[in-house]
Amino acid sequence: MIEVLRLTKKYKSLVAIDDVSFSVKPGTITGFVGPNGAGKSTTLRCIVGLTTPTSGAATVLGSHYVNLENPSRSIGVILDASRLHPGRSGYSTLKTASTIIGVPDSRIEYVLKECGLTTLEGKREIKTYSLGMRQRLCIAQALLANPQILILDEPMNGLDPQGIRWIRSLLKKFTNDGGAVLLSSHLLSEVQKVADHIVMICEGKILVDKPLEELVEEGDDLEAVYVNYTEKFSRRSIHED
Amino acid sequence: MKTDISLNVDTNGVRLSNIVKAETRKATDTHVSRIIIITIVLLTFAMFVVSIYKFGNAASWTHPFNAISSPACTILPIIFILLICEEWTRGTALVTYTFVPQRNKVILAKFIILLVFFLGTIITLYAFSAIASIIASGTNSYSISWSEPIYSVILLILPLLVNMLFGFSMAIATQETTLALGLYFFVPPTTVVVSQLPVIGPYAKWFSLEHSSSIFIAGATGVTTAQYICSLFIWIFVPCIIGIFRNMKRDLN
Repeated sequence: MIEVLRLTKKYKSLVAIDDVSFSVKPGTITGFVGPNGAGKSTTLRCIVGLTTPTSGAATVLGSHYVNLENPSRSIGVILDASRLHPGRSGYSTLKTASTIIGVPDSRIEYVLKECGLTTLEGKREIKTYSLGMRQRLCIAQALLANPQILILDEPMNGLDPQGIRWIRSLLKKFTNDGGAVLLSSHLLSEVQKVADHIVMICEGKILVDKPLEELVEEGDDLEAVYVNYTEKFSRRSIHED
Repeated sequence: MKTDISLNVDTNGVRLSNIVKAETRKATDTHVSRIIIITIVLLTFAMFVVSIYKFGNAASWTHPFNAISSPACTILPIIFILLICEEWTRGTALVTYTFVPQRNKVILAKFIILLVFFLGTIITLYAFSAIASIIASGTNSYSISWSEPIYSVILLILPLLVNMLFGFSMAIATQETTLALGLYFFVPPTTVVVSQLPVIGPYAKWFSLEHSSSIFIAGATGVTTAQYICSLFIWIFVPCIIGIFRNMKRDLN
Protein backbone atom coordinates (compact mmCIF):
# COMPACT_ATOMS: atom_id res chain seq x y z
CA MET A 1 0.00 0.00 0.00
CA ILE A 2 3.01 2.27 0.62
CA GLU A 3 6.15 1.78 -1.44
CA VAL A 4 9.29 3.79 -0.72
CA LEU A 5 11.97 3.33 -3.36
CA ARG A 6 15.53 4.63 -3.03
CA LEU A 7 14.42 7.87 -1.40
CA THR A 8 17.17 10.42 -0.80
CA LYS A 9 16.85 13.94 0.59
CA LYS A 10 19.81 16.28 0.82
CA TYR A 11 19.91 19.77 2.35
CA LYS A 12 23.09 21.30 0.88
CA SER A 13 25.84 19.16 2.47
CA LEU A 14 23.50 17.40 4.93
CA VAL A 15 22.06 14.06 3.82
CA ALA A 16 18.79 13.72 5.76
CA ILE A 17 17.84 10.35 4.23
CA ASP A 18 20.00 8.21 2.02
CA ASP A 19 18.66 5.60 -0.41
CA VAL A 20 15.74 4.60 1.82
CA SER A 21 13.53 1.77 0.57
CA PHE A 22 10.77 -0.22 2.29
CA SER A 23 7.11 -1.08 1.86
CA VAL A 24 4.01 -1.25 4.02
CA LYS A 25 1.57 -4.07 3.30
CA PRO A 26 -2.21 -4.29 3.88
CA GLY A 27 -3.31 -5.65 7.24
CA THR A 28 0.00 -4.84 8.92
CA ILE A 29 1.45 -2.28 11.29
CA THR A 30 4.97 -1.26 10.31
CA GLY A 31 6.95 0.30 13.15
CA PHE A 32 9.32 2.99 11.90
CA VAL A 33 11.95 3.50 14.57
CA GLY A 34 15.24 5.31 14.96
CA PRO A 35 17.06 7.91 17.08
CA ASN A 36 16.27 11.64 17.00
CA GLY A 37 17.35 13.16 13.70
CA ALA A 38 17.57 9.75 12.02
CA GLY A 39 15.32 10.86 9.15
CA LYS A 40 11.97 9.37 10.19
CA SER A 41 9.94 12.58 9.87
CA THR A 42 11.72 13.56 6.65
CA THR A 43 10.81 10.17 5.16
CA LEU A 44 7.15 10.53 6.21
CA ARG A 45 7.00 14.06 4.77
CA CYS A 46 8.50 12.86 1.50
CA ILE A 47 5.83 10.14 1.34
CA VAL A 48 2.99 12.67 1.69
CA GLY A 49 4.53 15.22 -0.68
CA LEU A 50 5.34 17.93 1.86
CA THR A 51 9.06 17.61 1.16
CA THR A 52 10.44 17.04 -2.32
CA PRO A 53 13.01 14.23 -2.36
CA THR A 54 16.36 14.84 -4.06
CA SER A 55 16.02 11.45 -5.73
CA GLY A 56 13.90 8.32 -5.45
CA ALA A 57 10.15 8.12 -5.04
CA ALA A 58 7.36 7.09 -2.73
CA THR A 59 3.96 5.85 -3.82
CA VAL A 60 0.78 5.36 -1.86
CA LEU A 61 -1.90 3.08 -3.35
CA GLY A 62 0.17 3.02 -6.54
CA SER A 63 0.36 6.80 -7.04
CA HIS A 64 2.51 9.65 -5.85
CA TYR A 65 0.65 11.25 -2.94
CA VAL A 66 0.51 14.63 -4.71
CA ASN A 67 -1.24 13.00 -7.68
CA LEU A 68 -4.07 11.52 -5.58
CA GLU A 69 -7.33 13.38 -6.22
CA ASN A 70 -8.47 13.49 -2.61
CA PRO A 71 -5.72 11.79 -0.58
CA SER A 72 -7.32 12.15 2.86
CA ARG A 73 -10.18 9.91 1.68
CA SER A 74 -7.82 6.94 1.66
CA ILE A 75 -4.89 8.04 3.85
CA GLY A 76 -5.07 9.44 7.36
CA VAL A 77 -1.95 11.37 8.33
CA ILE A 78 -0.66 12.67 11.67
CA LEU A 79 2.67 14.44 11.48
CA ASP A 80 2.79 16.92 14.36
CA ALA A 81 0.08 17.53 16.96
CA SER A 82 1.58 20.92 17.81
CA ARG A 83 0.73 22.25 14.34
CA LEU A 84 -2.98 22.71 15.11
CA HIS A 85 -4.07 26.35 15.26
CA PRO A 86 -4.42 27.14 18.98
CA GLY A 87 -7.09 29.80 18.36
CA ARG A 88 -9.56 27.39 16.73
CA SER A 89 -11.82 24.92 18.45
CA GLY A 90 -11.41 21.19 17.98
CA TYR A 91 -14.82 21.05 16.27
CA SER A 92 -13.90 23.87 13.88
CA THR A 93 -10.63 22.12 13.00
CA LEU A 94 -12.54 18.95 12.14
CA LYS A 95 -15.24 20.91 10.30
CA THR A 96 -12.55 22.54 8.12
CA ALA A 97 -11.08 19.11 7.36
CA SER A 98 -14.48 17.51 6.66
CA THR A 99 -15.40 20.35 4.30
CA ILE A 100 -12.23 19.81 2.27
CA ILE A 101 -12.51 16.02 2.15
CA GLY A 102 -16.26 16.10 1.55
CA VAL A 103 -17.58 14.03 4.44
CA PRO A 104 -20.86 14.75 6.26
CA ASP A 105 -20.91 16.68 9.54
CA SER A 106 -22.35 13.64 11.35
CA ARG A 107 -18.92 12.09 10.97
CA ILE A 108 -17.33 14.82 13.15
CA GLU A 109 -19.38 13.89 16.22
CA TYR A 110 -18.67 10.23 15.53
CA VAL A 111 -14.86 10.52 15.36
CA LEU A 112 -14.76 12.92 18.33
CA LYS A 113 -16.61 10.33 20.42
CA GLU A 114 -14.53 7.47 18.98
CA CYS A 115 -11.36 9.31 20.02
CA GLY A 116 -12.56 10.01 23.54
CA LEU A 117 -13.36 13.72 23.21
CA THR A 118 -16.71 15.03 24.42
CA THR A 119 -18.85 17.52 22.47
CA LEU A 120 -18.00 20.15 25.09
CA GLU A 121 -14.26 19.51 24.73
CA GLY A 122 -14.69 19.72 20.95
CA LYS A 123 -16.06 23.24 21.31
CA ARG A 124 -13.08 24.47 23.36
CA GLU A 125 -10.16 26.30 21.77
CA ILE A 126 -7.19 24.04 21.12
CA LYS A 127 -4.89 26.22 23.23
CA THR A 128 -6.74 24.84 26.27
CA TYR A 129 -6.03 21.23 25.25
CA SER A 130 -3.39 19.00 26.81
CA LEU A 131 -0.93 17.29 24.46
CA GLY A 132 -2.90 14.08 24.85
CA MET A 133 -6.13 15.81 23.78
CA ARG A 134 -4.34 17.31 20.77
CA GLN A 135 -3.15 13.84 19.81
CA ARG A 136 -6.70 12.52 20.09
CA LEU A 137 -7.93 15.39 17.92
CA CYS A 138 -5.25 14.63 15.31
CA ILE A 139 -6.28 10.99 15.31
CA ALA A 140 -9.93 12.03 14.93
CA GLN A 141 -8.90 14.19 11.96
CA ALA A 142 -6.97 11.30 10.39
CA LEU A 143 -9.97 8.98 10.77
CA LEU A 144 -12.56 11.42 9.38
CA ALA A 145 -12.94 9.77 5.97
CA ASN A 146 -12.50 6.19 7.18
CA PRO A 147 -9.16 5.73 5.36
CA GLN A 148 -7.40 2.51 4.33
CA ILE A 149 -3.95 3.71 5.40
CA LEU A 150 -2.66 5.55 8.45
CA ILE A 151 0.68 7.36 8.55
CA LEU A 152 1.36 8.32 12.15
CA ASP A 153 4.35 10.24 13.51
CA GLU A 154 4.64 9.84 17.30
CA PRO A 155 0.87 9.49 17.88
CA MET A 156 1.37 8.20 21.44
CA ASN A 157 3.26 11.27 22.70
CA GLY A 158 1.39 12.84 25.58
CA LEU A 159 -1.24 10.10 25.83
CA ASP A 160 -1.99 8.72 29.30
CA PRO A 161 -1.92 4.92 29.89
CA GLN A 162 -5.63 4.62 29.00
CA GLY A 163 -4.96 6.62 25.84
CA ILE A 164 -2.06 4.38 24.84
CA ARG A 165 -4.22 1.31 25.49
CA TRP A 166 -6.98 2.87 23.39
CA ILE A 167 -4.72 3.66 20.42
CA ARG A 168 -3.25 0.16 20.58
CA SER A 169 -6.69 -1.42 20.24
CA LEU A 170 -7.66 1.11 17.56
CA LEU A 171 -4.64 0.23 15.43
CA LYS A 172 -5.21 -3.53 15.89
CA LYS A 173 -8.84 -3.15 14.83
CA PHE A 174 -7.79 -1.00 11.89
CA THR A 175 -5.37 -3.63 10.54
CA ASN A 176 -7.77 -6.50 11.28
CA ASP A 177 -10.15 -4.73 8.89
CA GLY A 178 -7.43 -4.75 6.21
CA GLY A 179 -5.89 -1.32 6.79
CA ALA A 180 -2.17 -0.58 6.74
CA VAL A 181 -0.34 1.50 9.33
CA LEU A 182 3.07 3.16 9.19
CA LEU A 183 3.83 4.05 12.80
CA SER A 184 6.82 6.17 13.75
CA SER A 185 7.51 6.18 17.49
CA HIS A 186 10.19 6.33 20.16
CA LEU A 187 8.10 4.25 22.54
CA LEU A 188 9.69 0.94 21.59
CA SER A 189 7.80 -1.14 24.14
CA GLU A 190 4.55 0.12 22.61
CA VAL A 191 5.78 -0.45 19.07
CA GLN A 192 6.66 -4.01 20.06
CA LYS A 193 3.11 -4.54 21.36
CA VAL A 194 1.42 -3.51 18.11
CA ALA A 195 3.83 -3.80 15.16
CA ASP A 196 4.09 -6.74 12.77
CA HIS A 197 7.12 -5.41 10.95
CA ILE A 198 10.00 -3.09 11.89
CA VAL A 199 11.92 -0.63 9.76
CA MET A 200 14.87 0.84 11.66
CA ILE A 201 16.62 3.97 10.40
CA CYS A 202 19.79 5.65 11.67
CA GLU A 203 21.59 8.68 10.23
CA GLY A 204 19.33 8.51 7.19
CA LYS A 205 20.09 4.89 6.32
CA ILE A 206 17.90 1.83 6.76
CA LEU A 207 19.51 -0.56 9.26
CA VAL A 208 16.78 -3.15 9.59
CA ASP A 209 13.71 -4.12 7.58
CA LYS A 210 12.36 -7.31 9.16
CA PRO A 211 9.26 -8.89 10.68
CA LEU A 212 9.11 -8.12 14.42
CA GLU A 213 9.10 -11.80 15.40
CA GLU A 214 12.33 -12.42 13.56
CA LEU A 215 13.95 -9.27 14.96
CA VAL A 216 13.21 -9.86 18.65
CA GLU A 217 14.86 -13.28 18.43
CA GLU A 218 18.15 -11.36 18.18
CA GLY A 219 17.80 -9.95 21.72
CA ASP A 220 15.62 -9.73 24.82
CA ASP A 221 13.17 -7.30 23.31
CA LEU A 222 12.87 -4.62 20.62
CA GLU A 223 14.62 -2.05 22.81
CA ALA A 224 17.68 -4.27 23.33
CA VAL A 225 17.87 -5.06 19.62
CA TYR A 226 17.42 -1.37 18.74
CA VAL A 227 20.23 -0.26 21.08
CA ASN A 228 22.49 -3.01 19.74
CA TYR A 229 21.92 -2.05 16.10
CA THR A 230 22.16 1.73 16.53
CA GLU A 231 25.30 1.57 18.72
CA LYS A 232 26.97 -0.81 16.28
CA PHE A 233 26.09 1.57 13.43
CA SER A 234 27.37 4.64 15.31
CA ARG A 235 30.69 2.89 16.15
CA ARG A 236 31.08 1.94 12.50
CA SER A 237 30.35 5.53 11.39
CA ILE A 238 32.93 6.96 13.82
CA HIS A 239 35.47 4.37 12.69
CA GLU A 240 34.88 5.23 9.01
CA ASP A 241 35.24 8.97 9.74
CA MET B 1 -11.66 1.59 11.36
CA LYS B 2 -15.01 0.44 10.04
CA THR B 3 -17.82 2.56 11.29
CA ASP B 4 -21.33 2.02 12.51
CA ILE B 5 -22.71 4.94 10.56
CA SER B 6 -22.85 5.10 6.78
CA LEU B 7 -20.11 7.24 5.35
CA ASN B 8 -21.19 9.08 2.24
CA VAL B 9 -17.79 10.32 1.09
CA ASP B 10 -17.58 12.54 -1.95
CA THR B 11 -15.86 10.38 -4.56
CA ASN B 12 -14.51 13.30 -6.63
CA GLY B 13 -11.22 15.08 -6.06
CA VAL B 14 -10.96 17.96 -3.63
CA ARG B 15 -13.32 20.57 -5.05
CA LEU B 16 -12.20 24.18 -5.24
CA SER B 17 -15.56 25.24 -3.77
CA ASN B 18 -14.88 23.03 -0.72
CA ILE B 19 -11.43 24.55 -0.25
CA VAL B 20 -12.95 28.05 -0.51
CA LYS B 21 -15.50 27.15 2.18
CA ALA B 22 -12.80 25.68 4.43
CA GLU B 23 -10.50 28.68 3.94
CA THR B 24 -13.38 31.08 4.67
CA ARG B 25 -13.90 29.25 7.96
CA LYS B 26 -10.17 29.48 8.70
CA ALA B 27 -10.20 33.22 7.95
CA THR B 28 -13.03 33.95 10.35
CA ASP B 29 -13.10 31.38 13.15
CA THR B 30 -10.07 32.31 15.26
CA HIS B 31 -10.20 34.54 18.30
CA VAL B 32 -8.05 37.21 16.60
CA SER B 33 -10.04 37.26 13.35
CA ARG B 34 -13.30 37.64 15.27
CA ILE B 35 -11.83 40.64 17.15
CA ILE B 36 -10.69 42.17 13.84
CA ILE B 37 -14.14 41.75 12.25
CA ILE B 38 -15.94 43.18 15.30
CA THR B 39 -13.50 46.14 15.35
CA ILE B 40 -14.15 46.88 11.66
CA VAL B 41 -17.93 46.71 12.17
CA LEU B 42 -17.83 49.02 15.23
CA LEU B 43 -15.46 51.57 13.66
CA THR B 44 -17.41 51.58 10.38
CA PHE B 45 -20.62 52.22 12.27
CA ALA B 46 -18.92 55.01 14.24
CA MET B 47 -17.69 56.60 11.00
CA PHE B 48 -21.19 56.19 9.56
CA VAL B 49 -22.67 58.18 12.47
CA VAL B 50 -19.90 60.80 12.34
CA SER B 51 -20.28 61.24 8.58
CA ILE B 52 -23.98 62.04 8.96
CA TYR B 53 -22.98 65.17 10.90
CA LYS B 54 -19.68 65.88 9.18
CA PHE B 55 -21.18 65.77 5.70
CA GLY B 56 -24.14 67.88 6.58
CA ASN B 57 -23.90 69.84 3.37
CA ALA B 58 -22.82 66.98 1.13
CA ALA B 59 -24.09 67.20 -2.39
CA SER B 60 -23.40 63.65 -3.54
CA TRP B 61 -24.24 60.30 -1.97
CA THR B 62 -20.59 59.22 -2.49
CA HIS B 63 -19.07 61.96 -0.32
CA PRO B 64 -19.24 60.10 3.02
CA PHE B 65 -17.73 57.00 1.38
CA ASN B 66 -14.03 57.67 2.10
CA ALA B 67 -14.65 58.26 5.80
CA ILE B 68 -16.95 55.24 6.18
CA SER B 69 -14.61 52.94 4.26
CA SER B 70 -11.40 53.94 6.09
CA PRO B 71 -11.60 51.32 8.92
CA ALA B 72 -12.18 48.43 6.48
CA CYS B 73 -9.57 49.85 4.13
CA THR B 74 -6.86 49.69 6.79
CA ILE B 75 -7.87 46.72 8.95
CA LEU B 76 -9.56 44.19 6.63
CA PRO B 77 -6.31 43.19 4.84
CA ILE B 78 -4.92 41.99 8.20
CA ILE B 79 -7.34 39.04 8.09
CA PHE B 80 -5.73 37.86 4.86
CA ILE B 81 -2.20 38.47 6.12
CA LEU B 82 -3.01 36.19 9.07
CA LEU B 83 -4.80 33.63 6.88
CA ILE B 84 -1.75 33.25 4.64
CA CYS B 85 1.14 33.73 7.08
CA GLU B 86 -0.21 31.61 9.92
CA GLU B 87 -0.07 28.58 7.64
CA TRP B 88 3.71 28.91 7.97
CA THR B 89 4.27 30.61 11.32
CA ARG B 90 1.81 28.30 13.12
CA GLY B 91 2.78 25.40 10.87
CA THR B 92 -0.80 24.61 9.87
CA ALA B 93 0.40 24.33 6.25
CA LEU B 94 1.51 20.85 7.29
CA VAL B 95 -2.16 19.88 7.68
CA THR B 96 -3.51 22.03 4.84
CA TYR B 97 -1.11 20.67 2.23
CA THR B 98 -1.60 17.11 3.45
CA PHE B 99 -5.32 17.49 2.72
CA VAL B 100 -4.73 19.40 -0.53
CA PRO B 101 -1.33 18.55 -2.05
CA GLN B 102 -2.16 20.75 -5.06
CA ARG B 103 -0.91 23.93 -3.38
CA ASN B 104 -2.00 26.15 -6.26
CA LYS B 105 -5.63 25.30 -5.41
CA VAL B 106 -5.17 26.53 -1.83
CA ILE B 107 -3.58 29.80 -2.97
CA LEU B 108 -6.37 30.30 -5.52
CA ALA B 109 -9.00 29.62 -2.84
CA LYS B 110 -7.47 32.27 -0.56
CA PHE B 111 -7.51 34.76 -3.45
CA ILE B 112 -11.16 33.97 -4.23
CA ILE B 113 -12.07 34.64 -0.58
CA LEU B 114 -10.27 37.97 -0.80
CA LEU B 115 -12.40 38.92 -3.82
CA VAL B 116 -15.60 37.75 -2.11
CA PHE B 117 -14.77 39.74 1.04
CA PHE B 118 -13.91 42.74 -1.09
CA LEU B 119 -17.20 42.63 -3.02
CA GLY B 120 -19.27 42.10 0.14
CA THR B 121 -17.51 44.95 1.92
CA ILE B 122 -17.74 47.38 -0.97
CA ILE B 123 -21.49 46.76 -1.47
CA THR B 124 -22.04 47.29 2.26
CA LEU B 125 -19.97 50.49 2.23
CA TYR B 126 -21.84 51.89 -0.81
CA ALA B 127 -25.11 51.21 1.03
CA PHE B 128 -23.83 52.89 4.22
CA SER B 129 -22.64 55.89 2.23
CA ALA B 130 -26.01 56.27 0.52
CA ILE B 131 -27.94 55.86 3.79
CA ALA B 132 -25.70 58.39 5.58
CA SER B 133 -26.33 60.87 2.74
CA ILE B 134 -30.09 60.33 2.87
CA ILE B 135 -30.19 60.86 6.65
CA ALA B 136 -27.90 63.93 6.41
CA SER B 137 -30.01 65.46 3.62
CA GLY B 138 -33.22 64.82 5.60
CA THR B 139 -31.75 66.38 8.75
CA ASN B 140 -30.27 69.39 6.97
CA SER B 141 -32.97 69.79 4.31
CA TYR B 142 -30.97 69.62 1.10
CA SER B 143 -31.27 67.35 -1.91
CA ILE B 144 -28.66 64.75 -2.81
CA SER B 145 -27.21 64.24 -6.23
CA TRP B 146 -27.58 60.60 -7.33
CA SER B 147 -26.03 61.28 -10.71
CA GLU B 148 -22.39 60.68 -9.81
CA PRO B 149 -20.38 59.59 -12.90
CA ILE B 150 -19.79 55.84 -12.92
CA TYR B 151 -16.06 56.51 -13.26
CA SER B 152 -15.83 58.29 -9.90
CA VAL B 153 -18.00 55.62 -8.24
CA ILE B 154 -15.59 52.92 -9.44
CA LEU B 155 -12.55 54.94 -8.35
CA LEU B 156 -13.89 54.84 -4.79
CA ILE B 157 -13.30 51.10 -4.57
CA LEU B 158 -9.63 51.24 -5.57
CA PRO B 159 -8.07 52.10 -2.15
CA LEU B 160 -9.76 49.11 -0.49
CA LEU B 161 -8.93 46.77 -3.38
CA VAL B 162 -5.32 47.95 -3.56
CA ASN B 163 -4.81 47.65 0.21
CA MET B 164 -6.25 44.13 0.22
CA LEU B 165 -4.08 43.05 -2.70
CA PHE B 166 -1.03 44.73 -1.14
CA GLY B 167 -1.60 42.88 2.16
CA PHE B 168 -2.13 39.62 0.25
CA SER B 169 1.07 40.03 -1.77
CA MET B 170 3.19 40.98 1.27
CA ALA B 171 1.84 37.95 3.13
CA ILE B 172 2.35 35.48 0.32
CA ALA B 173 5.85 36.80 -0.45
CA THR B 174 7.14 36.78 3.14
CA GLN B 175 5.10 33.90 4.69
CA GLU B 176 5.92 35.51 8.03
CA THR B 177 3.22 37.29 10.04
CA THR B 178 5.35 39.93 11.75
CA LEU B 179 7.29 40.80 8.61
CA ALA B 180 4.17 40.95 6.42
CA LEU B 181 2.34 43.20 8.92
CA GLY B 182 5.44 45.40 9.20
CA LEU B 183 5.72 45.79 5.43
CA TYR B 184 1.97 46.37 5.08
CA PHE B 185 2.04 49.28 7.52
CA PHE B 186 5.52 50.72 6.85
CA VAL B 187 6.11 50.43 3.10
CA PRO B 188 3.58 53.13 2.05
CA PRO B 189 4.83 55.86 4.47
CA THR B 190 8.46 54.83 3.92
CA THR B 191 8.17 55.36 0.17
CA VAL B 192 6.78 58.82 0.88
CA VAL B 193 9.77 59.64 3.12
CA VAL B 194 12.24 58.26 0.56
CA SER B 195 10.58 60.30 -2.15
CA GLN B 196 11.56 63.48 -0.27
CA LEU B 197 15.16 62.90 -1.38
CA PRO B 198 15.85 65.26 -4.31
CA VAL B 199 17.38 62.47 -6.40
CA ILE B 200 14.38 60.22 -6.02
CA GLY B 201 11.59 62.79 -5.81
CA PRO B 202 10.87 63.13 -9.56
CA TYR B 203 10.41 59.37 -9.92
CA ALA B 204 8.44 58.79 -6.68
CA LYS B 205 5.07 58.54 -8.36
CA TRP B 206 6.31 55.52 -10.32
CA PHE B 207 7.00 53.40 -7.24
CA SER B 208 5.10 54.96 -4.34
CA LEU B 209 1.56 53.70 -3.83
CA GLU B 210 0.87 56.77 -1.71
CA HIS B 211 2.06 59.24 -4.36
CA SER B 212 0.49 57.53 -7.31
CA SER B 213 -2.80 57.32 -5.43
CA SER B 214 -3.19 61.04 -6.15
CA ILE B 215 -5.14 59.57 -9.06
CA PHE B 216 -8.07 59.39 -6.62
CA ILE B 217 -7.90 63.11 -5.91
CA ALA B 218 -6.67 64.75 -9.10
CA GLY B 219 -8.35 62.41 -11.55
CA ALA B 220 -6.68 60.00 -13.91
CA THR B 221 -4.63 61.00 -16.92
CA GLY B 222 -2.53 58.76 -19.16
CA VAL B 223 0.60 59.45 -17.12
CA THR B 224 -0.98 59.10 -13.67
CA THR B 225 -2.63 55.83 -14.70
CA ALA B 226 0.72 54.52 -15.97
CA GLN B 227 2.38 55.57 -12.69
CA TYR B 228 -0.31 53.83 -10.70
CA ILE B 229 -0.01 50.62 -12.73
CA CYS B 230 3.78 50.74 -12.36
CA SER B 231 3.62 51.02 -8.55
CA LEU B 232 1.00 48.26 -8.42
CA PHE B 233 3.33 46.09 -10.50
CA ILE B 234 6.23 46.71 -8.09
CA TRP B 235 4.32 46.25 -4.83
CA ILE B 236 1.60 43.76 -5.75
CA PHE B 237 2.31 41.79 -8.91
CA VAL B 238 6.03 41.05 -8.40
CA PRO B 239 5.78 40.03 -4.70
CA CYS B 240 2.72 37.93 -5.55
CA ILE B 241 4.56 35.98 -8.24
CA ILE B 242 7.59 35.48 -5.96
CA GLY B 243 5.26 34.38 -3.14
CA ILE B 244 3.31 31.90 -5.26
CA PHE B 245 6.59 30.36 -6.43
CA ARG B 246 7.87 30.10 -2.82
CA ASN B 247 4.60 28.55 -1.64
CA MET B 248 4.67 25.95 -4.40
CA LYS B 249 8.30 24.94 -3.81
CA ARG B 250 8.88 25.36 -0.10
CA ASP B 251 9.57 22.15 1.85
CA LEU B 252 7.66 21.69 5.08
CA ASN B 253 10.10 20.69 7.79
